[in-house]
Amino acid sequence: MKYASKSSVDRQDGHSHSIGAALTFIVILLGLGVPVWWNTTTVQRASLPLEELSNMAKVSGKEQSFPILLKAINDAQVMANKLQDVLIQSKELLNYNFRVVPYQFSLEEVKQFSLQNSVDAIDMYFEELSESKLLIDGLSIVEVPSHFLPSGKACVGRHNFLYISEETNFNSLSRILHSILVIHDSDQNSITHLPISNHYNVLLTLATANATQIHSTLVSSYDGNFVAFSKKFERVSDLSISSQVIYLGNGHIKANYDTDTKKISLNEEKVVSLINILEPRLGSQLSSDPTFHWVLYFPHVNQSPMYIYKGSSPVVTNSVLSPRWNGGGLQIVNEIEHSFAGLALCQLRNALGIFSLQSKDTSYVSLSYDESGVHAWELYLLTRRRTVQFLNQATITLKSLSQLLKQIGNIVVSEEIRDLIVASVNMGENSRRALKSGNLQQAYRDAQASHKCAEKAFFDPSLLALLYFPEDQKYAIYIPLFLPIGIPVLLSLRSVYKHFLRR
Amino acid sequence: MKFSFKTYISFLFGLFSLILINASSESFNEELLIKPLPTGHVYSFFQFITKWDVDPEETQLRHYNLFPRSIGEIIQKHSLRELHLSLTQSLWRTQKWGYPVRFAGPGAEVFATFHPHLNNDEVDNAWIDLVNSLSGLFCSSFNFVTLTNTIQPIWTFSPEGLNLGGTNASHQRYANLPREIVCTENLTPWKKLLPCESHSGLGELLNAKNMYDSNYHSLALDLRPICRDKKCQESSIELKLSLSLVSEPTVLHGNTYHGINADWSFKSLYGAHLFSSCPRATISKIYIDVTSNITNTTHWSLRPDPTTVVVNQRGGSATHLAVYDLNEISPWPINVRASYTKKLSYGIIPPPLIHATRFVAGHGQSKGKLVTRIHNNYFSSDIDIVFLELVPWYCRVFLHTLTFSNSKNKPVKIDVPQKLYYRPGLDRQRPNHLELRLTLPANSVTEIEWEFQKGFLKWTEYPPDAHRGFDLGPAIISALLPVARNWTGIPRHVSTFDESWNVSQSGYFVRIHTETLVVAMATPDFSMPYNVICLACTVVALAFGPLYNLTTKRLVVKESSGGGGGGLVSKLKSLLGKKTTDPVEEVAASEASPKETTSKKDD
Repeated sequence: MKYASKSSVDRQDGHSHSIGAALTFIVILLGLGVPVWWNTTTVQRASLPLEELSNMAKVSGKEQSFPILLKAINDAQVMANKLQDVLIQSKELLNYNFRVVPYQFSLEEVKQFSLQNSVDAIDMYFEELSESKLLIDGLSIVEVPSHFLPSGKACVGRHNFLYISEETNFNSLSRILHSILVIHDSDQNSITHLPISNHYNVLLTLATANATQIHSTLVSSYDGNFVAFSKKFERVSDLSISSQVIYLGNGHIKANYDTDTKKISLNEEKVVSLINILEPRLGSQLSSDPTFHWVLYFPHVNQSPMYIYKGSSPVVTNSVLSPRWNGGGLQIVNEIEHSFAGLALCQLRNALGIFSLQSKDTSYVSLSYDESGVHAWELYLLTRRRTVQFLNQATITLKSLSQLLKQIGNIVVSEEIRDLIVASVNMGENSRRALKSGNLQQAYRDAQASHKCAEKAFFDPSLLALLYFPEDQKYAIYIPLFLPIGIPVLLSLRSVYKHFLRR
Repeated sequence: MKFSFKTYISFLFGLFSLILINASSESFNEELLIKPLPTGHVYSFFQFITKWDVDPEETQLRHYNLFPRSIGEIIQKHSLRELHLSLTQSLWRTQKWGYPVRFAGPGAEVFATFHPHLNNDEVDNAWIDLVNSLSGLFCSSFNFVTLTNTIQPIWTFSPEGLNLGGTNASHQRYANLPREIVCTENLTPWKKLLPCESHSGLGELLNAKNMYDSNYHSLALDLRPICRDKKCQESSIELKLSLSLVSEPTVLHGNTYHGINADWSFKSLYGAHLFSSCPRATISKIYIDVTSNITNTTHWSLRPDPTTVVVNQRGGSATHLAVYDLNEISPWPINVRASYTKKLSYGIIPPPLIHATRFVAGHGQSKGKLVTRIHNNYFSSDIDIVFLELVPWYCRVFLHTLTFSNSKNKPVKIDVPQKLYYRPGLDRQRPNHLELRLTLPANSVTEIEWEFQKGFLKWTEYPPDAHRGFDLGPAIISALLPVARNWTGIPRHVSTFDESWNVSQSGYFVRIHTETLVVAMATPDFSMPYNVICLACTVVALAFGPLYNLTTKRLVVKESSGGGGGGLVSKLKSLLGKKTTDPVEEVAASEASPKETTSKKDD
């Protein structure tokens, strides 16, 4: 009995000893081993403002203030209030948040007016005044003495947006404003637009089957037109203009030959064969910026003159747009004298999103274009739209990035990526604030920066570092360690539990 | 909108057509040199030269006519001054074939000079960007050129064009990829750079099937600034695209009953007739070397008859060339044929002045020796050469083992450091770079050898078929030869063959590439990392088991409980009659063990 009691004490003692050892193993394994393993194999993820990312929304029309500068000879304040009321009441312009700012001309300026002899001259005078600033800060409506504008018709200017006289009716003014803004703010035909970017390439390709022709005159005329345009467009985005000549050998295009009229024609189906020959020669190895292509095709002597037909009638411009060239196109040139540069520039304007007004509308008159082929106020409207597009694009990019991060656990987010995302979000907010206060240039710059950061973060190769390392391998490799150690330790949990239960 | 546009456009057009813009002129020449070699092979060298009269420092290259736009963009983007690259399949056998027009080592090779306004780091970045652009442009593996296999050559490579000044070795980069395979996918983009592509002119003869059914094939691109005219007041850019081909008509025909048939024609060499000349080319000529026909015993005739035959006297040797001027040819198409009247018989071929061979010596997987043997077959005098060796970092060479020996026991001296440049390699950063200026004694064989140790690589650094071994690029020997024997090149100050005839020089530059080498390295078993992890885990688990048991379990004495009591084991034991008086039960470290300990506690 004595022996038995001693041995039971001994047993009791030994038992608690082994329980202690088991507990130590459990604590070391679960408290130290598992966290160390987890931390060394986990994917690096810098903390991101996910909340903000998911709350980002597209910019609405109401968020942007739309300043209109009303320059008047008479009482500017009264006219401004009147215009403001008309614009607010107008049903069609509900989406805009107009803010009419009055500006009273001084006597000196009125005197300068009277020296000019037409609206055209007045517009030039204004342009000279603001020569230093290529991008205007807002649309301005200018009141001119009534003898410049017959019967109170409004006039669309080059530098200033609209010219009006005392006789102009404000209701018709709001209608004109609406009709112009509808054209400029619509996102129609977005397939034929160049994708939004900070830099564009404009490439003129002369495709020819006659090697002896000299194209330097064509190139110089093209250069003259486009350089003026790109200089004015510089503040919105960079255009780099280049040209190339490609020689197509004696390559005959499969064209239709009409024996009666002796005309060579390409219809919708046959044009494709020409485009197929050209496309492999248009790409660039170095630049990933969107490129506007304009191709001039000089047919071979045996196939000249060649015309493009739509149905049974020839196309006036003898040209065709290719949807895959982002608004660029192809023109067949039979004689060198052809004024191709005008058409190419017109298409470039369209592709960049500067839309021409309908000439059918008789409620206003408009001044003709200067050598650059673009009005200052058109650039203003374009900048507004591009600001919104940049912001929306950045928002979409950031949102899809955050969705990706949620879905795929293996994406690494380093500190630099975090900084880029934060910068993009902050810049976006700055831009929205500037847009609200009417400071468009600031808003545009910030929107560009925001878009750039977002794209850079999205396409950074460091995100993909661990993408191809499957999760199951992480566990499979450690199975030989996990099983023999984990099982006894986990089972001893049971005995420890029972031990404490007995107490 | 439209009417207003038209009016001012037409006005502008009139205005601009009046202004004569300073249009930069471009010219294009194409030439083909065919040279029957004494071994029965036929060497064809196509060259397409575009000269653009534009300042090479111009940063705004915008309007391209004959010059390829993709190359122009590369020049601008990477601030490039000179670029020389070659993609070569197989080895040029100098000993038998003499010297080619354009020297190229096996595989891919690229050498570039950048603008002097870039600092060293900027040049490195521009170089990496450049090789990536080139790899896209030519569908080749130039993207495998990194700083670990790039050197800044000192003497061997120097700018080949007009010296615009300002650059030194730090603006130059050179790399080679000895393992590069050249095929159709490289030829197709290369052909696209030609102004007439393969529509017309000599480009018509470039059929991939025949180009790669040859003994030697090399594509090259050379871009350099040159003098615009004789006065050399201004400079221009020259782009020379060239293709070397060595075909073996005797194999193409197969052996006939009458002996070796070495006849060849455009059709048999290139698989095509020539249908037209390139209308954009100023010079478009074919030259056929007919010297062997006149001086040797072999006789062959050319058909159709050449436009003229010129004699090219230079450096003490004369070559006769049959010229076909494609701008005066009629009728099209033409298929130039050479037919032997006397069957070809092989004789002893006199070797050229300098040729070299290289091999790996040594045994085992830890050490080796690189040996280069350079033959100087010139009887009358010694020849100065520059020797360049680029050894990858994983072959750790020892400069102190560098030895020279000569077959005639004449001394080969090297002034250190004036004539020896050595930049040791750094693991995973840069290769070993050795350049030597040495004098080869007349009529002897000089041997250069040095030892290296094979490094251990990380398992991710091995190429896909690691057991094949690692390729080492060729050693390059540059020399200025006193005589023009076997020399077919074009002097550096001219562009075309047309200008190069009868131009004697003080020396004739050759650059000989030796063979590439394969070095067997110690290759691991690539499943090793997994095995190591498994083994390490098993060892840890094995050590853990007893340790765990010793600490958590105890050996206790179990009292006999008579019959009835006890577990299944003791029942079984009693059944088997092996009941012990003082049973000691060892509690096993098994899943069942906790159960048993608890049941014991109940006792």
